[in-house]
Amino acid sequence: MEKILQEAMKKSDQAEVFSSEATTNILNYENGMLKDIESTIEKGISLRIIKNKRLGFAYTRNIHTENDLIANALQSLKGGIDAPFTFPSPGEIKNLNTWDPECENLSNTTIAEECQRVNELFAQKTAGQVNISTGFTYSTLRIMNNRRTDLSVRSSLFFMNISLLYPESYAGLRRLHLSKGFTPVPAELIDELVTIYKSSEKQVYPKSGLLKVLFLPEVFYILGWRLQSATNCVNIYQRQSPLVDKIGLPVFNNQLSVVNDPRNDHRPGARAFDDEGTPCCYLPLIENGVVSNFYNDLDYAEKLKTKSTGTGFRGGVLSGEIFATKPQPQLQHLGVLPGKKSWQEMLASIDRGIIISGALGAHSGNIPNGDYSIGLSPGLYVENGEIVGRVKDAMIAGNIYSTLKNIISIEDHQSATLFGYYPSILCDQISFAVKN
Amino acid sequence: MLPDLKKIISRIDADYSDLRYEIKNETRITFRGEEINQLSSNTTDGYVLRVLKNGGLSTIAFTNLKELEKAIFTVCENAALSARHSSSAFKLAPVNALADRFIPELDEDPANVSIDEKLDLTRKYNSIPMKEKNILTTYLEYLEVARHKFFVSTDGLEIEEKITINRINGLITSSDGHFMQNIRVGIGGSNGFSTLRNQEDEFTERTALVLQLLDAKPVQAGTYDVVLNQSLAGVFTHEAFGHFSEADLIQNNPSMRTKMQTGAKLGNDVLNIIDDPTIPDQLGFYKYDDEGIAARPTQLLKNGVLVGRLHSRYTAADFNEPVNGHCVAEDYRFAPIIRMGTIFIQPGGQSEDELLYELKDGLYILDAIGGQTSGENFTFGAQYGYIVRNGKISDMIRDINITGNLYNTLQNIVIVGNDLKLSRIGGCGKGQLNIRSCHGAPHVLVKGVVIGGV
Repeated sequence: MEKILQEAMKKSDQAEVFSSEATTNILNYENGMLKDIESTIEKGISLRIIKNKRLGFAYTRNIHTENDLIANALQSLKGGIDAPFTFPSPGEIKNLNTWDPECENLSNTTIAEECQRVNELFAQKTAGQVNISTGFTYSTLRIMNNRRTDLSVRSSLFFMNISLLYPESYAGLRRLHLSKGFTPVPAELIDELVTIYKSSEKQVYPKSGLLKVLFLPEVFYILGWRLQSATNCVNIYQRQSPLVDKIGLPVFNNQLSVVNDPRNDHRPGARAFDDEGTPCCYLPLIENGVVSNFYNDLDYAEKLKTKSTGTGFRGGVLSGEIFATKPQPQLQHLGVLPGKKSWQEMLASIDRGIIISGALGAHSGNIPNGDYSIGLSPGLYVENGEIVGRVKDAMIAGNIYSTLKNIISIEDHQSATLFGYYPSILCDQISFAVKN
Repeated sequence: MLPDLKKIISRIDADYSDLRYEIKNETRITFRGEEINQLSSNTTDGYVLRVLKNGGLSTIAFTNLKELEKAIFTVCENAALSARHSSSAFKLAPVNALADRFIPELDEDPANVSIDEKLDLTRKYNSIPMKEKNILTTYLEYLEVARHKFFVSTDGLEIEEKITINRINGLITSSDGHFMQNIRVGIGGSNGFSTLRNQEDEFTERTALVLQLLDAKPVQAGTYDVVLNQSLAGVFTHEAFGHFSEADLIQNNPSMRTKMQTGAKLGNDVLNIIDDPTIPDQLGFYKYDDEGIAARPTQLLKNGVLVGRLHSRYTAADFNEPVNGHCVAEDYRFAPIIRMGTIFIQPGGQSEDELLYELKDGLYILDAIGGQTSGENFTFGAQYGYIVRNGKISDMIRDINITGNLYNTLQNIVIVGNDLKLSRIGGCGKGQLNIRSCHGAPHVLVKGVVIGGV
């Protein structure tokens, strides 16, 4: 990396080298049977250069072609991409505990045995089909630039994603178990899933109309996706957000607080600096319903004449290898702060409503406008505080700027999901359509 | 390259192994509004090794040959674990040995087109919406991906193949100052750079539509009879039906496997669906999959009866059905999984106007904006639509999302049109991203569809 940086600086005004290495093992179980084991050992390197305030970007997996890497970055300058920013000098970086030393010794056999135990526990309690995707990954990132920034982080992660499926379907109840190193799945997680599953086995046929809807943590991403779009400085810069001029205004219900908390190292994947070497910080986006901050990277911070929020990250869902993508504003440590009600209290408060545990089509619809319209997969129907069954062929639809105003209550506990840490959120007056 | 790969697998102590080496060239040019956000052209490579040993199957992807010994050790250890923890031994359907090199001739290989020309063309198309007053912004990307693959297996497959796609696609956003609408736009294909030339009309039409959407009314939630245009009917075919013709998705789900038995009458008599990756010049075209198996046209539904499904060698053996070359990886990072190639509803006899006449009162909805499935249920979004009264198109509508039950909907497709059209942009996210996923259909008339509205 040092040599690449040195050579790149001979041909540019600024340079940054980013490298990543990761080893990953994934085991997939379907219906109690091991379906496949896949491993990856991958590494790659990328280079950003700035010359005459223009940006060049290149990457490779094969570090023996460093001359090609520099040549590709120089060719990339042809785009004339504006780069008004400066790579950061070394900042104050918080020391975080992101690494479980045991992870390098963790074997797939240990994980397979844990899956066997979990599958057996489910089999004792339910005949429902259980699918498990589990595994562990350990990775190292390093960032160097011409201003003497030289940062690295080692991270480890163990995950187990459990699905309990309804018959003739992949609709089901899901829970994610996450930790920095291997930890057994808690019995409560299994019991919770089984209890909800058993109460919703029967198919029921409620009528369409405006209902209370309880968004479980696993589906908050439907609303969160639109919220991220609205608070992303790319969209603020392009004035493609309903929140453009709303900083300091109470746009949402005052129970709602949304924060990005990358430095919380009780959770796996904590980061003290982003993928551009900017120190990360606790960043509230919504505080008690009031819009408080937008998030950016070096580029959009400069374009909007503000400071970087330390949220310039690479990669993302289905976006390719981490080193092969340019940093852009991303919230990779998002959460909604817990409220005051227990889950049972929230359930008891629903006279007639739907619990959404899984959604289809969250990626379609007018996301910048905040609209959503999703198929329920599944939707659990509630009457008089009790789950009475499961709904099929049904959708809910709305807009986050009304849905998140109509919050009735927020759960007093956050759960890990694939997209952040969220409590359940109960909202009123949501449009529900079902096949008659 | 192939002899070097053969040498590697010949020394692996296993019942079967295969090794794929890939070189991937990727060029991206991205506009956000007037600004260029990215211009890059890069080459990466990697290996994927798969081993079957004592009934256990495992895969490892690795970056370079320095990691080879570790990779062989890990994959063999994982195969042994797979054998111990699987309820039955993994088997692969037998194949005949074959050696082939397939580098399709393109109508202008994008590798021979300068980056300046690619930039100019993307800029030209981007300027079409950007010059309009009520266009807020665009996100437009030129993407070119070429995978040069070398595949060997211990049962005598030696395949070299190069497949290339290029496309320009993205999103156009309009605003009247208070309210935003957006529309997807895209051109592309696998038969060369020429497919991207002279496409100004596509960008002009999409720009006009997104401006019209500012005045469209949100659809009222409810149940409707609808005519779907080719894009939407194609997404339905892919999402709702196609995924459950992929054998790996039903293999270990007993209730789905029972329901999806060949011979089952799933759909209306008018419905015929095929997946055919061998149609030349289409986005989904390829000759060999990533198990080295020649792609074959596979009839899936014939007069509403399930007659076939898509397979890997593993699922073909398990279902005791023939292989058909549908096991494809995104790139060198992944083991291959079962994917659709070019799936479509085969055309019937009636025109679009005749379908609208038969519809009488209902909705005409057009152009997909993504879909998702979960067993028997599916949801997908439509870009826009029109209310149809007495067979005539009237008011424009927006915010249309559809949900339904696969089996009911297959029965409720009552008329299939005669105007088959295949997609030019792909993007299926079943675990990995498949940018070559191609689907299509003629217009179809469907009874009783649930629409979510907003």
